[in-house]
Amino acid sequence: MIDFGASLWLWLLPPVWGAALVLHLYFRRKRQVVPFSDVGFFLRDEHHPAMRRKLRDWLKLLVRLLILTLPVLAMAQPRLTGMKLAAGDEPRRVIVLDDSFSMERKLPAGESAFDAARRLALSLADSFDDGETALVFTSDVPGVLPTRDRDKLREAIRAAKLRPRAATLGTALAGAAEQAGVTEIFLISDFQQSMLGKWEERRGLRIYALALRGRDDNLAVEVSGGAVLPPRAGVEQQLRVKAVNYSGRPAESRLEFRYGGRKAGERLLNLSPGESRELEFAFTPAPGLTSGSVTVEDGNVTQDNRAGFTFRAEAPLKIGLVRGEGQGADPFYFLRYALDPGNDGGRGVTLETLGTAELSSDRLREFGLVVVSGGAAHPALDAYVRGGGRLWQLPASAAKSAGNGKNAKFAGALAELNDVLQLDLVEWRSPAELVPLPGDAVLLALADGRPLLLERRDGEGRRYLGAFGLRNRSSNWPLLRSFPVAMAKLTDYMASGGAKPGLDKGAPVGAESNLASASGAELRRRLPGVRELQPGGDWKLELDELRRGSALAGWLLLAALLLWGVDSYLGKEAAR
Amino acid sequence: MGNAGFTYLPASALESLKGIELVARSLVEGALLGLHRSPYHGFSSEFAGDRKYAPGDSIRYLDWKALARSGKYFIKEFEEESNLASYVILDSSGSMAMADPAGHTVKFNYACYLAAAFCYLMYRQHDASGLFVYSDEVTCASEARAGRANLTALLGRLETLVPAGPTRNGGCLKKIAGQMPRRSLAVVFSDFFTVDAEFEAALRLLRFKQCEVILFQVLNEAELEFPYRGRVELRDLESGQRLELEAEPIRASYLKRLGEHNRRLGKLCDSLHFMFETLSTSTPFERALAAYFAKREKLF
Repeated sequence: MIDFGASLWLWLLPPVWGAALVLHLYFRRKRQVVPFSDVGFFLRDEHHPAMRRKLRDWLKLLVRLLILTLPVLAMAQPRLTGMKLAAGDEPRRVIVLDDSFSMERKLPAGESAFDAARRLALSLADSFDDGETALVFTSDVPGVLPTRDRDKLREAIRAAKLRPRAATLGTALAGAAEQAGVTEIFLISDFQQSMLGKWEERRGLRIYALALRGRDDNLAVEVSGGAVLPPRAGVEQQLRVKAVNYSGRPAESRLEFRYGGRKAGERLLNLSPGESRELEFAFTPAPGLTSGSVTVEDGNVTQDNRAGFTFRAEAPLKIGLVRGEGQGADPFYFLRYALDPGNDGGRGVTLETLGTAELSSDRLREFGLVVVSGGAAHPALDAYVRGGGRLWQLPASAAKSAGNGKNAKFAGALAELNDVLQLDLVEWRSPAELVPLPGDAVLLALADGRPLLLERRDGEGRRYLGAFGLRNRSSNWPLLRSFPVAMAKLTDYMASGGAKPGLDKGAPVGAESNLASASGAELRRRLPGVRELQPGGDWKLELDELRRGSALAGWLLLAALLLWGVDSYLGKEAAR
Repeated sequence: MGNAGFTYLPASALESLKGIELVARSLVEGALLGLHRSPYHGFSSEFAGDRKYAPGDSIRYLDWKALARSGKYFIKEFEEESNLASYVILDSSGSMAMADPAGHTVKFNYACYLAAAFCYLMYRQHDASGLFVYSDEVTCASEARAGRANLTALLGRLETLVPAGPTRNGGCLKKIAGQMPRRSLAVVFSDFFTVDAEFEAALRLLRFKQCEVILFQVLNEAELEFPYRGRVELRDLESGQRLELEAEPIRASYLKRLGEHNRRLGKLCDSLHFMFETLSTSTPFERALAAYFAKREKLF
């Protein structure tokens, strides 16, 4: 479909054609009449009969008319509009509004990209005077289905807020393109590089990009981790925090640590462009669940300036140790050393040896976990367990064994210990035979399937039946590096019944923190077929021009030039 | 001889013709005499010798003395005077009506001047001259006669001629050739644009009759150079046919065709020992005639 931008020029065509025709006929009439002796002399060897000569004459006239017509058409600014709507079809448009965190960035004028985006979206919605328009967000917030109701559209745009991004721009574009009958899509975004995604150009669809490129400097913070050992109330903990400078300029800022509603620490930051730095904050947790946060100051995008966390600290753990009869060396030597090396409860765990005479329900209730060696049994222990206590039974010395074993693996909630165990080559020496009963959970088993640690419910409490002792007679584990961590986590697990204390950090903002926007060239490469408009300029005029399609003037002038060449060639051919 | 009053032999032209005549006399006469020195001894005042009597010979020229001497019959032979029969054959078809681009000289008129000059030369040599005129048919056939009265008649006849009608070179020339006596001279004036097998046959007939033929192709500057520019409409002077064309593109091919046509004609004449000359009307006829005779002198 061809449209003319300056159609008044077309009025020039009839006089141009008339003049051309008059000149053609005039020069045809303007001929010299020559009486000649023998005209047949010319016709004898004539290769071009009169009819062909006449046809060539008309062809010349046609070519010359075109040579005059095409420049006039070029002046009329013709445009190939490309897509033709069938009669009765109405345009259907989709506005894709980027409501991701990065849109908080500041534009040169001072307003945020998101505010500018909403303003542009409203302006667009107001400019559509026909057809239906839909609104799509890049977050998971539902948009507006195709509607003629401009008010509904405006309301949704005004109500939009910044949210975590749910999909890439390519995905949002694909979703918009799938709407039935869509003819135009308007993308309003900062076109963050890391969130462009993939897109395959589709014919017949016009996609316009209104790029809002603002400041790309950004500081982000996230909680990277805490202590390895299970946290106990009253025992100082370390919180590891990572701060990243996502910009091309050095950044200075302040990092504030808050815990339990109070400011618990502060650091001054000085980061080079692109630098990522880990810092630690120490705190002493109270028992139970406490929340905290780490915040960095940043004048641009703030969504990733705060990293929250919760911390669950258990009360200090008292472990009772009951030694069975006939035990030579201290069966709990290594355990004691692993859990309380200072023998001062510095890690929130105290171990106390209990004699058989001390075994009473009241006494046992003081302990979060009781470890019994040598197959010791006592009614008080049974009552303790049934009453909700936790009992870890180490095997008797004379327990039967099926032989040594290797490559044990934890299961269930303790599976995280497997990474620790893999670093060591634990050899299990004649572990006792354990026969799991129905309902037992195998917490640790050898590669050949022999259980090494069972969890058995008994009344309100739990029994943990071990096939191995805690001295280096039973395995080389007590001598390995992983033993203290494993014992801390194992005893914590046994004592807490599986509840997981420790740090619960929020998910980092991730890729959205890198604010770098795609350049025009990258945009065209990653999202082919998308035409960029300049929101800062007269983008409506630009849009109008783009809608009107490709300019043909240059092609018409080129065609006129080619025809002129053809005309010259025809003239030379006739002369031959 | 003063010939005031004859268009094609004006008094003013006689002055220049004198020179031609003189030249012509020494050359034409010599050449023509040489040409027409008859191997057959005719009857004149000068006794040339005897020959044996053949049945049918006139006894009027019986050599009685030789009979008396030898008892055999002999006929007397005499030197034959130059009694050449020459014919001017003039093409008066419409194509000869073409004027030069300046509109001054018409080919037919030019040919008539030449024809008149030849007739005059024949008269001066006491040779007989006749005239044939043709277009698509022979419109005039004058027997060859000597003497002033014949010349006057021929010149007068020329003045009455108007070129018109289509050309039939071959057919007319063949008819003329049939009427011409043996060993005569034919001087043909035409543009020879239409030459066909019949024309060739006519020339061969003249050759067979041992006639000498001189073909003068009379063309004007327009035909020789085609000097036109731009769009031209050619109108055939004979058929009236019109042809519109662009002059510049067509010029080269026309000249090439003309050259090839004349070469073929020249080759034909060479093969028959005839002379073929192309004359341009832009050259004064006296000069053209002088050039021709100068050339002829070199040949003979």
